[in-house]
Amino acid sequence: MSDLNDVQENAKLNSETRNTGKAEPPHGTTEYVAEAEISKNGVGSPKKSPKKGKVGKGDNNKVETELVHTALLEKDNPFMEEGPTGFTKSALLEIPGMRSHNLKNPNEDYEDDSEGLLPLNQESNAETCRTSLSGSINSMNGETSASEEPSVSNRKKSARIHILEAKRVSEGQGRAYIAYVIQFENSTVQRRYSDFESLRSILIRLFPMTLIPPIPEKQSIKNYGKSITGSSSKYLLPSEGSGSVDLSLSVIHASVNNSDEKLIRHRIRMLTEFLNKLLTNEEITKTSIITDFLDPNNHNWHEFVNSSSTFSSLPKSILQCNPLDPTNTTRIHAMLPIPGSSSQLLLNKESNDKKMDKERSKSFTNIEQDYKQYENLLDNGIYKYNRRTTKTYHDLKSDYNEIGEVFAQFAHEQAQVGELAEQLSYLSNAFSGSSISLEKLVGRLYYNINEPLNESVHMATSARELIKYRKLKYLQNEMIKKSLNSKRAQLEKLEAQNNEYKDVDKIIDNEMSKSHTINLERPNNNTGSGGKSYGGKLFNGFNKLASMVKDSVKYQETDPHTASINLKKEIEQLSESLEVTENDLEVISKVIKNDQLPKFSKEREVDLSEILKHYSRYMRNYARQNLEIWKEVKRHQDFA
Amino acid sequence: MTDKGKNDLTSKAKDKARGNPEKPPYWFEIIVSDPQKRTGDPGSSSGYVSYQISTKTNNTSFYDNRGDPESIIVVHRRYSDLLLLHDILLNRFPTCIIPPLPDKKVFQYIAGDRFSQRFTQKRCHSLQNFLRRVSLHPDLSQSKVFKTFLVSKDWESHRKVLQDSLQPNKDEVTDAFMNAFKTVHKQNEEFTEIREKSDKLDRTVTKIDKLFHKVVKKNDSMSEDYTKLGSNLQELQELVTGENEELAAKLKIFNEGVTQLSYGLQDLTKYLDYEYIVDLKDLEHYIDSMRQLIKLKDQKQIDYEELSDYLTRSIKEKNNLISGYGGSNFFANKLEELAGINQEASRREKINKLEGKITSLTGELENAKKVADGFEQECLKEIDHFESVKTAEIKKSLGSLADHHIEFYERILEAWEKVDDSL
Repeated sequence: MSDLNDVQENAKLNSETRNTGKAEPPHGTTEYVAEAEISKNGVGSPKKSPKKGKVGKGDNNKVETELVHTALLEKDNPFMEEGPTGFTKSALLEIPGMRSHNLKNPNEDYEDDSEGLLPLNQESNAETCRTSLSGSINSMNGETSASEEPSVSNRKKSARIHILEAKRVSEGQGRAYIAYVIQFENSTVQRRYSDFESLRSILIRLFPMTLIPPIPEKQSIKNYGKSITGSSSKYLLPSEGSGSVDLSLSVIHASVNNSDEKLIRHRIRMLTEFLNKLLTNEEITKTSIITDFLDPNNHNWHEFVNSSSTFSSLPKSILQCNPLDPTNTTRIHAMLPIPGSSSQLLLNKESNDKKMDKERSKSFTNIEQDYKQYENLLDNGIYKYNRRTTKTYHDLKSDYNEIGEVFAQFAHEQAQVGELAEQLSYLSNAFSGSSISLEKLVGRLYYNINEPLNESVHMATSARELIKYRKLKYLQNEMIKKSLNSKRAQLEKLEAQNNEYKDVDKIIDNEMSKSHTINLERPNNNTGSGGKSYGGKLFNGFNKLASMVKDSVKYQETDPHTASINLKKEIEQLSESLEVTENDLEVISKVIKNDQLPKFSKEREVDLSEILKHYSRYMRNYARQNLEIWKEVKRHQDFA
Repeated sequence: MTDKGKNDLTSKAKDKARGNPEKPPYWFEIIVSDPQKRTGDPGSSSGYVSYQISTKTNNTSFYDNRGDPESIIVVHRRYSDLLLLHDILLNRFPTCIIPPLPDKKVFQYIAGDRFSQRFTQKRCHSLQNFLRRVSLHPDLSQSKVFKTFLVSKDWESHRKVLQDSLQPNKDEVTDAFMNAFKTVHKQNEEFTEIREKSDKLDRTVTKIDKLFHKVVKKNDSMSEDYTKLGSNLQELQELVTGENEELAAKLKIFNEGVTQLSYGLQDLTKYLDYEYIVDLKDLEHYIDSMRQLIKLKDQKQIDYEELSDYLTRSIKEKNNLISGYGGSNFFANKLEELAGINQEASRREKINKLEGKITSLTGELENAKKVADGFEQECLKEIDHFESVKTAEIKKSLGSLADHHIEFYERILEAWEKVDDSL
């Protein structure tokens, strides 16, 4: 019962959000109404087709659908053996798996979508429309003030989310996972990594034009240690955070080795940042999804998601979502083709672009290159060399410590020479002191500089994903254009054929009349030659018929007509799709270019400034500490 | 330069005030610098490196035929010149610890690396250590050859004469060879202690040397990484310029800090590599030189002990003869009796011979003991000198180490304070 209410509230909030968000003129509204009418007609058309054909197609579609889903299941969930059986369904919600599948089999996937799944999607989409419509109607009847309060309260309070605890939880059969205890305001809830993954997957489809913060990579405990650190060195956790995430508040309740501890801290930091950034996103906080995720009553997140019709009805691919309101994806969106990697080659070969498209695409190409370069500079430059210097500082710490010990031994050996022994002793203290200050520095650099830099790299990757989404939409648009042109050419060809058929009919009529006349004119004379001539003409006629039409006259006449009608319908459909995708593309380009990327740009400026500030402060403190240490040594030397 | 000289003057004055009798009466300040590659001598196929040697001293005799006693004496010498100086000193002062020269570096010679800046800079510092050690020795610093080396403008003619005057020390060579497998029976406890201490010192210095080598490598690596980091920051700055002017400005300011950190690390590393580690290596060589002297002392003592044993055996033999017949000589006596030899006379003759031998050996033994004892005393004196020089060297080296670290941290502190205030 409460779940149902939540669903209704979600639907209502989404609906209101969209209504509020739309600043479109009445013309836009009219267009949507017109589209609705057209879609009604479209929905009705399959019913007119013969029963036999429908039944046969239905069977084929079912079989193919099952095959496709099976393939998706296997490929989308590579960790199926590791995961529990109950969560198999959640694998379908993972976008990355979906995308990778598409990338692997672009042609096959395209064919499946265009041929096999088309009618099925029509039917299921119709049901979806009805459901969502009824949902909206129901939600409109609900209480308006109640739904408004959560958003208001979220905005007013600038409370932050903390992950207080990371602990190992056993789920039977020798398997275990790490549970993160999340605190927000007065409540705490427990979530695991895959819950965060699920949440992000949903958000990407609910808010396709919004920059969704990244979560850490999916890595098992063993792999992380190997790939990231290459050693089991342990870094001192700084006593103060760098402002965004204070790891000293988090407790790890598990006996883990150094690499695992690093991974868990890495996750705690990134997951905390992920949730906090979602809290500050206005679009997302208009819905209750974050509140639901943090609600202790929703004990099992996967169950909550599966029981929610809003989430379950979301299209699997972001490219089939209505960017303005993914929960009300139209029939047209559901039928949109999904471009694979080979489509980019088509784009490169395309030389018939309109000027407007060229300019727009060129603009985004520049943006894409800039963001690619930015990510590369951050990842392979700044992050990489900071990581290396941090490691070298760490190793240097050990050397300094050792030097301190050897100088202490040296001082002991030179005890007979009092002054020298004293001096060596102070130097021993100096190097030991340097070692300690290096340890502090290393801890700070690792947790407060390198980790935020890593986050910045992931944010840059997310930004590029957004740009890529727009690019794929563009490719989708190009595919539809190409398909539309192809269909039109096909229609013209078909009409030309129809004209030819008419000419043939005329010729046949003439031939028949001629042969009749000949027979009447020469009934008894030259029977042999007359018969020969008649037979030859008839033979020619039959040849023509055979070469042009293979079946009966009646069938020939009706089939081109049917094909023509079908083509016209397809063209009409594609025209609708084209119109929709072009509108979507315009909206997406506008939102991404004028809203999301500038916002990201500001955020990265703040983040990088913060990192630079902290780094210079740490270096300053490190230098000051060591300067004092060495000046102390010098004072003693001068005194001696 | 002037300040440095004044400081040294003050330091030397303090030394005098302490009334240390072992200190030489004059002080020297010697700098080896400016390595220059020269073309070879006529007939030589390869070049050599010439070093500038600048000397300042309060010994006025060094300024003979010169107007200004306060001026600096400058000459140019090559490695083989210093090698000759070293060999002459070794030849003329056998009881002294002659400071060691750096190795010839055959590998660097073959690889052609001996003209690289790193190699020549390190050698400069090492040669400077050698000359400074000579100048600190009370006897070596007063030698004529040392003065000629530091002062003479006509070194070429002196060099030939000096080379001719070098004589191989055959006696010592023979002694060393014959005594290669012998050890001292009664070692002076003091020397045992000295040996143990020097072994410890050597091990400790070697450890420090290895550790600082590691530090140098890591600093080099870090300096390089910071340089690359700087390049990437520069590119990032260019990328965001136009879009985030403020961020671009901050990146530029930050890059100043990174650049200074990189340069600072380079300079610190260069000091550690060219000077501090060279000091450690030279100290190890100096310890070896001291060990050589102790070995030489052992040779003298072995000579004495051998003579002592020989004398003891001779005396024993004589006493046996004096004590009369032994049963074991019965057949010998019978044979002599048959031959007609007068046994008594023969016995007396033998005794007389042994007595003469014993007298001679006793004299030689006394001489050997004098030599061994004298050498031992000289050796102890030299070791004391070694200890004081070593101590002074280590202090100076540690002082320099502290200075350079202070300089480094001051530099990066200044840089990062500027960056931190600007951001």
